[in-house]
Parts: sequence; structure tokens; C-alpha cells
Amino acid sequence: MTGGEHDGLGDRPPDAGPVSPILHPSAPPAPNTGDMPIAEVSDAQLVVAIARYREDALAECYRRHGGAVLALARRVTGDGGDAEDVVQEVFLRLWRQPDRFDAARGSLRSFLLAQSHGRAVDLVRSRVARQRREERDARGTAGAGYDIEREVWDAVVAEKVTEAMSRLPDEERTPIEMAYFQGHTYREVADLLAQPEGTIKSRIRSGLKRMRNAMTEIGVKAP
Amino acid sequence: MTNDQHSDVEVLLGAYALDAVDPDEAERIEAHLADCPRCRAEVDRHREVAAAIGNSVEPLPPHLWDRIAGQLERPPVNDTVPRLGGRADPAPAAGDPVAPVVPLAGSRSATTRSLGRRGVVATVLAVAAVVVIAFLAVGLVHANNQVNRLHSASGSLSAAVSSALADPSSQRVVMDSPTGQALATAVILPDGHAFLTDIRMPALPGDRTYQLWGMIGGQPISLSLLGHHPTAVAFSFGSAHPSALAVTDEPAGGVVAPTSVPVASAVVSA
Repeated sequence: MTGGEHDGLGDRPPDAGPVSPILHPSAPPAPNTGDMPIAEVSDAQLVVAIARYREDALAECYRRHGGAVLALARRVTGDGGDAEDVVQEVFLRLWRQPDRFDAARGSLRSFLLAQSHGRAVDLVRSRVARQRREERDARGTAGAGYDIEREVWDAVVAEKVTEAMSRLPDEERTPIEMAYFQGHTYREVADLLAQPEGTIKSRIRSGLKRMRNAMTEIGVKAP
Repeated sequence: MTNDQHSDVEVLLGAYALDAVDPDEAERIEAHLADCPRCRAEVDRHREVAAAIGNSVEPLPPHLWDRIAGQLERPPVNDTVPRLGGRADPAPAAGDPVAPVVPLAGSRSATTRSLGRRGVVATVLAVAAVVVIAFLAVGLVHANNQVNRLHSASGSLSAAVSSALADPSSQRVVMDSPTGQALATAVILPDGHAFLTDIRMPALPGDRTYQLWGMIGGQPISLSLLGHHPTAVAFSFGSAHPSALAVTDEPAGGVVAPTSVPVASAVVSA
């Protein structure tokens, strides 16, 4: 940063009054084409702008990733209201603590999904245990009827990821799905599958590694 | 960190990345991660895989952004320091990473275009470019709500435009270039919903965008980013009827105040 008043509008003058007009993410510049004006701005740059209290940058970020954050939160919580709370928390947190995102450690989408997942899991675990158990029992064990393909952000990539998942050995895939999508701890998964805890935590880890290799092989990058 | 501790933690990293460990384990793992780049890297890799598995998208409900926007704290009055100081460069790009988002200095000079015939609008906007402006954020959230509802109600933009054009109570305003060439038509409904259609503005380079402004209360308020090659756009200004509309050519990402004279403008009758 070179200093001076015109480094960029992101450095709001101290007396600038209310934050600039919010560029609503749903007020698309060219909704028919997807030809977004800030499409070329990288996620990392957006986060820098967010750190400078640029609401339009947060709005753009929400437009890019909000739907994925919501989908994962709903998937884990199974509840639309909870999922919206998660989305709200995730983006408010990004606004308040943009420095938590470190571009060197992964993509913004991965970061936001991890945030979404963590918060969603918190919600699920804080629910009344009995209710959870009833739902769990009603659903049966994990993996059954699991449909990763619904409403995908990128159908081609999702299909490849799905395929890679389907090629994982069941004993690795199932614990991953139970932990990730149903919010179970590995201990709970072990309990539900009647397997030793050590086995489950190893399989989750080896399954994730295998998935990563498979994704690399088929040329799928993390979102 | 001993090797034993390391391998204790290591075997849990997959479960940890999926938020599937108990709180006391999470604490132990995090303490280890703080000192162990190798394990940190492994967690990052697992999280990327998890993100790929969990990466589907749902349509966002229209009200959700307004809920979020309504809770955004403003910076302390004297706090203009970027909030990323505590961490190593989050955007590895060289130079000022935000420059491509919001360059002000070095944006296209107002002097490259004549002020043109619509002197009043142009002059006010040009002045706004060099004066720090307290924007009227009031009403914008409201307006955005309306844009939202508009989109969800109309289903498709072109249908909404057709419907607005067919509405006898709508007002049509042709936006002209400084040389008098018609570059767009604004269709304004009495309730503050509006559309820009019949857009004939030339495509801009990808790093530029057209930005639509409304003169409201004597100040330019950003109504919408139009993109670098706009076709049709919905916007809204709620009850704050603009006295004029103008489009400027700005850096992609938009600006909070116009930095160039309008490429198109129109006076809107009350």
C-alpha cells in the first residue's frame, strides 16, 4: 500500500458517512447472460475489498458462493430456517473477520463451505438429542438414497465428483457421508456402524485421500 | 510435539476436517495444527475434497441478503485501515490487490469526453467524482428488496420488461449520449420499479462496467451495475424518485461515486 488518498475506493474516507449503496447481489447487471461485471475480480481480491468494508464486495461474494453455503447447510441441518441462519452467520463472519480466510490455504468456496459445515453441525448437535435420534432412525443408515447430484453448481464437475465418490470402497464412503452430511462425529459413526472408532477415523482419512487422488486423476479441482 | 502426539493427531485429521471430532479432540488438534504445517496442509487438502463433495447450489431466497446486509457493522469512524494486517498476504498478487476491484486514480479521465448537451446532469456527476460524497444509503436496501421481489415475481426479466412496456402508467425515458444518440430506454413504473432496455451502448473491455446512477436528493445514487455489455436490467429506487438518470463507464466492480462524465443521461420528469 503506497498511502495517499487514492489508493482505491476501498479505503473509505473517515467522514464518508453511511456505507456506499449496497449493490444487491440479486440485482444482476446482465441476468440473461451471466455476464457479471465483477466476474473477473478474484475471490481473494473480493476478500481484500471486504476487509475495507466494501459491502458490494460482500454482496458479490454472496452471489458467487451463497447458494453453495445454503445448500450444504440445508443438507446437514435438514431445515430451511436453520440453513438460512447458517448462511447469515457465515457471511457476517466473513464481514467481521475477513482475515480468517487465507488464500494460501485454499479457495474461498472451500473456506466458506467449511464454515457452513461447521456451523451447521453445531446446530444439528445442539438440537434435542431425542429428536435427532428419531430422525436418524427414520432415515436409516447413511448413504442410502444419497443424492449428490441435485441442484449442482457445476453439473459436469459434480458428476465427476459423484463418480469418484461412488468408486470409493463402501467402508470409506459411508463414514464420510455420515460424518459430513449428517453431522455425526466419527464416534457416532462407529457406533451406528458397529465398527471400532479407530477403524472409522482411519477410513475417513484414507477415503478423503483416495478421493483427492481420484479427483486429481480425472482432472477435477476443488471448488 | 513428540512423534507420538503427532501420530495421535494425524489419524484424526480426516474426521477433524469433516467437523466429526469431539470438542476436546478438536482443541487438541488445533493446538497441534498451530505448530505443524504438514498437518495443517493435510487438513486443507481434506477440506477441499469435502468442499467438492458438498458443492451443490440452491437458489438463494430473496430476503436472505437483506437480513445479512441489515446486520453489517460499519467501520469505526477513524478506522480506514484494512483489516487484513494480522495475516500474511491473503491475496498473493503483486501490488495493491484491491486495485483491480476499485481503482479510482487512473480511471478514465473525464477530460476524454466532452460534457455534452446535458450539462446539468453531467456537471453534477462530474463534481461528485471529485468531492467526497455522503451517499444516501437510506432507501437503497428498501429498493433492493423491491428488486428482489420484482425478480421473484416476474420470473424472467424480458417478461417483466414487456409487461412494464405494456403498462400504460409506465414512463419511458430515452437516455441519450452527449451527442444526442439514443443509447437506452428506461421504463419506469409508478411504484419505483424500473428497467433499462433497448440498450445500444457499445461493449466495454472486460475490466470495465457501465454503472447506472439516479440523481436523488441532488446526489448520484448507484442504482445498478450494468456489466460491460448490458442487454436489459431491472432496477428500483423505491419512493425516492430520481430527477435524472445517467450511465457512466467505470472500473469493473463499480465505484461509490461516478468517476467520469455520463455516456448517457436523461432528465426524468416528476
